[in-house]
Amino acid sequence: MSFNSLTFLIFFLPVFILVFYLFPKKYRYIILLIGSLVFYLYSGLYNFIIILSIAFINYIGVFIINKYKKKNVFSYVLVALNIITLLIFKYDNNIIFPLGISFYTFNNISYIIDVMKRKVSYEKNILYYLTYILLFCHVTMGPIVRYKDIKNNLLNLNPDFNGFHCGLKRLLWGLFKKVLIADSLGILYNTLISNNTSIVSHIFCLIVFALQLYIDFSSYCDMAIGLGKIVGINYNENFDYPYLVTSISEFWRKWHITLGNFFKEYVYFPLGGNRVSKFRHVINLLIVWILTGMWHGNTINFLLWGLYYGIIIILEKLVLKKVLDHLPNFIKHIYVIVILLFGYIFFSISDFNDAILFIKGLFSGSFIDNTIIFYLKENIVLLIISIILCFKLPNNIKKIYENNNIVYFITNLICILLYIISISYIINGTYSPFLYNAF
Amino acid sequence: MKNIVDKIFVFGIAIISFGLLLMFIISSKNDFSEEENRYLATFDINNIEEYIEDHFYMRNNFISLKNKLEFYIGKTLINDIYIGSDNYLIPIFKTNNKRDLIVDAINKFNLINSNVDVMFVPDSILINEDKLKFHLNTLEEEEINYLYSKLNTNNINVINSLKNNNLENNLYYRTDHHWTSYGAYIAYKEYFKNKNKNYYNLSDYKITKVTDDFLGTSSSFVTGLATKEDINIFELKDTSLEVNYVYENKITNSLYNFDYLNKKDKYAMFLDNNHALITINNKNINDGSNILIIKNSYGNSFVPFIVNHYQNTHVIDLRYYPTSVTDYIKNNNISDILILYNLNNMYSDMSIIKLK
Repeated sequence: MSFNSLTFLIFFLPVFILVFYLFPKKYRYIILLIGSLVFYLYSGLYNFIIILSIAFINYIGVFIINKYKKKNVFSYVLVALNIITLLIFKYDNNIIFPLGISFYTFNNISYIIDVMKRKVSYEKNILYYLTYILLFCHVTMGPIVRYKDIKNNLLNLNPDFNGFHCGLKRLLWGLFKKVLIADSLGILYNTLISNNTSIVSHIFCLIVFALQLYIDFSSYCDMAIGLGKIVGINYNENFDYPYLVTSISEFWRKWHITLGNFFKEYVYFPLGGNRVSKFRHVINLLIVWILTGMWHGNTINFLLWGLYYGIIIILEKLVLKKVLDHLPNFIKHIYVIVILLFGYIFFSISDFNDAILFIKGLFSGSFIDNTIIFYLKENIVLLIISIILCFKLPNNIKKIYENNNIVYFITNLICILLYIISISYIINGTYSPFLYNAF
Repeated sequence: MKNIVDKIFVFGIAIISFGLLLMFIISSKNDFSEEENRYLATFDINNIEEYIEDHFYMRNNFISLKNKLEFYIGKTLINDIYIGSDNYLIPIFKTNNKRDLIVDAINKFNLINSNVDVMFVPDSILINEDKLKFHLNTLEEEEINYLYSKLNTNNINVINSLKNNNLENNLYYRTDHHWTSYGAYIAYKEYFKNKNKNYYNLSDYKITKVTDDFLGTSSSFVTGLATKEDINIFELKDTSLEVNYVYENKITNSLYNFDYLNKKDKYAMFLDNNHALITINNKNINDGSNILIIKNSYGNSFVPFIVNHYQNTHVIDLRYYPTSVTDYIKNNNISDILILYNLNNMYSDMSIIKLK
């Protein structure tokens, strides 16, 4: 069940929270595990069996490896096993792709390597380990989390009222962003992509996609982080205003941070990072970016997309950085936005010919059409809110007025109203009147 | 103070969530939604979410909340319905890339049964474009002209006469995707002009308002934003009819089933909603004339004008009619054949390609 479904919000979560807080903190991890098992089982028995099998193999694998010498060799074998499993599921289109496997495979890999490098001791209690892998807050869409980062939380699940309250607000904030903004942007994008007739409409289409992708994914992470706080687990942030950056290297330090850190920690640094010859450095970067592209999807467009960023980041490191440093900030922003929007062509359109057609449309044909003006006008409020969400403004306003009681009260009231409105948007998703009689 | 507000907030969210959970469990569940004209989801372990959303407590209130909110922030296109001026709710027009299949089916049919008349009725969006708050080229006129240019049939273009007569009376329902009896009358007049036959004037009819409580299908898409409207029927004095719903073995003396006026979809009162085959015998005429109308639901309010001119009017709906129309024509001595569809629904259900 997804976080923005009524099954989750009205059924699973209230009941789970009630039971969770009724139990003494010593046993809460068991409730968390049971809740996670129910949550994941809901996505189907097939997914459930796969995640449990993989978890058991890894748990037993790490357990055995640490009883013997030659830890490193066997650890790498286990890591390779995880990667091969992921690759099989990713590239064999005849088998169903298990929910969340891209994320929990990376969690498992980080666990194996961290244990090998003694950054964390291996977990003897299988229930703790299973909770880490299956935790409903992060199992389906991340963030990618290292066991060492949440181990202490997991052993002592005792959030206070303030933690719970902050978590609830963060969860709802994510819900509003997802249901009211991101999904509306999604509908708009689907309409636009099939009505693309002018240069402006192509550009507009990319902007809407950029806004949708960021707000959609970050809203999910808001909800995951909020849920974590509710049960007493502190996740690292996954986004840090990525669209406000002045270079592509910086963008990738602020976008999907936990994925970037994973590749840095377990691929880039082990390969030697930048402490090698210039040529090796370039190769290292290319490897990381091809892997990043492959991780996002199994079609050729994602490979191209990864390569695209690899090349741009290499160029930035070698030459562009010196040029950019001398330019005023607003030009740097424009540079980043142009690169990002162009990159999204490969990210959003899986068919290569369609992508080429789209690029052609960006540079030829009429400049503007009537339909696009209609959609711009029609969605002006949505677009303004979406753009504001990319800036630090909401957070800054929050800080200024946090100590004003009246404003604080009113914003809380609005928050409750938005919760009700969000429910109405979710229900509307299945609202489908039939023109004809139901025959 | 802040702490108290925080507690009230958490309490508020908890009350709403647990309240909705409780109300979902104890509230009675309907099988059918009149509003949406469809059966609601039944409980299925693999699709719990759909079941919950379909049977959610105060579901329709939640939906109209969403629609009203979008309307007030300035949206004019909600759930594929344009919110026009004068309370008009106008469904969007969807093009179809299989239109040549329609052309082929009708041309083939015309080859076997010559003298086929075709009338593609434009939708509300074309005739009421002035009600849209933004000028949009809906391409519907181009579509109709394209189809006519490819057809070898006798085509009756009603776009201009509908456009020119749209001021006095509503030719389309404000809350429904159908045309009104006034709209159907204009088309009927145009059809008879085309055939060089005499037609009745508006003043010849007794016009009866049968309801002022109609909220059509378009209003279902944007609940909360519609206002009720009238349905009128046009009758000549002293007409005696025998209406035979052939496949249902049901014979009546009226073109209307007024029972539908107590239900949501009141337009269904015309010809008792949609049937595979209806034959209507006008007892005042004894000239042996027979007309066949192949139609979708737009035809239901058009047929009442036709029955006054033929001894027998045969009405076929291809969505339900299982066999060959050509055989039917041969067996029933039919001289006039009219294919009547509105474009939007013809494109969306494509049943017309079953024509043979």
